Amino acid sequence: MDTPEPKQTGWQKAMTLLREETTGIHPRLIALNAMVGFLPRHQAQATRARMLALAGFRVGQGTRLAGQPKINGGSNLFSNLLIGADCEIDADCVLDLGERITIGDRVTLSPGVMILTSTHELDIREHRAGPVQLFPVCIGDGAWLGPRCVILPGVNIGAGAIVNAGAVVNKDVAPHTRVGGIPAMQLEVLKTRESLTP
Amino acid sequence: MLDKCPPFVASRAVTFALRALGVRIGSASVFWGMPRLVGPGDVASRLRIGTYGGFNARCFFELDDQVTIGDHVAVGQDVMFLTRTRDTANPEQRGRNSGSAPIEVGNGAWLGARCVVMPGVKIGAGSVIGASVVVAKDVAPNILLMGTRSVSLAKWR
Repeated sequence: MDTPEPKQTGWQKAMTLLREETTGIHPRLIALNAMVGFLPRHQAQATRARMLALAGFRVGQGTRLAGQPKINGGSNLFSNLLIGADCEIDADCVLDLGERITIGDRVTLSPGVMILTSTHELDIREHRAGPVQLFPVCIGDGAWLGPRCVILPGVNIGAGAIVNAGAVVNKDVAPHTRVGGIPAMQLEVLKTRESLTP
Repeated sequence: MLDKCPPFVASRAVTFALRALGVRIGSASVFWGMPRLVGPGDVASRLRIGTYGGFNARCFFELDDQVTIGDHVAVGQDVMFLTRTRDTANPEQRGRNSGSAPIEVGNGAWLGARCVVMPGVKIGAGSVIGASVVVAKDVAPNILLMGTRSVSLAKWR
């Protein structure tokens, strides 16, 4: 038998409910979205990155954002996003910041890229999506994520890797390789600086 | 202003506004929602659309290069036309801009919802592209292209 939950008074219940309903509210994020919401897409790309840094995210020098990414996540949202220098992030990206997303230097995110960090434990057959699990995502320097690709939680993408358009990446990608398809498979080994200069 | 307009509302006004912006749209072609036109300089002049076309909501045109769409073409929701090519040879930065390539869609083609048309692609006349397909290679005329097969990966008790 499960131990019965301690009885809550009506007031405590209301407070728990209120806390649950308001954890997703981040005033700085709302202020940021309100301010950059007026900027037309694909304009003021450096300003968008500055604003993101002002709001409390860590964004490297020379990074440009073509549109405000959709950011959602739990309590420590602002420490969970690290963006390197000279990145190019296109419009309509979705960044799920339940866990840390690390984006290296000179990374290109094409339009509509979705990076996820929260998933579910596999549970009993009556309820397959069990408790929520969080895994960090890391994207290496110089990688290019193609349009509308989906990066699933816990995936590390190596430096200089290419993810084809529309791919769904469910396992780690080796550095300097091209992956594509659903689920993403290795399609090509790309030339590196070492292999270019013997 | 008109991009705040919900889809399927004032589609004639949206199409009229696009014509006013300088997009060459043939007679009786309709945009059911305001598409997003993106690119350097005069983007409207690089988009050319034939007659009797139908474009569903939230289409996205990256107009670094010409996008030519024939007559009687139907385009689904959220379709992306991309013309910016990337230089993948540089190991330090795989996604650097390297130029552009034009897109051509033949007469009578039909593109399903959430398609992505990659730079330099020519879609032949009368071809049908299924939903959420990434078109990276040229498509011959009168072809049906449908998505990736879903493979069963696990069997649980």
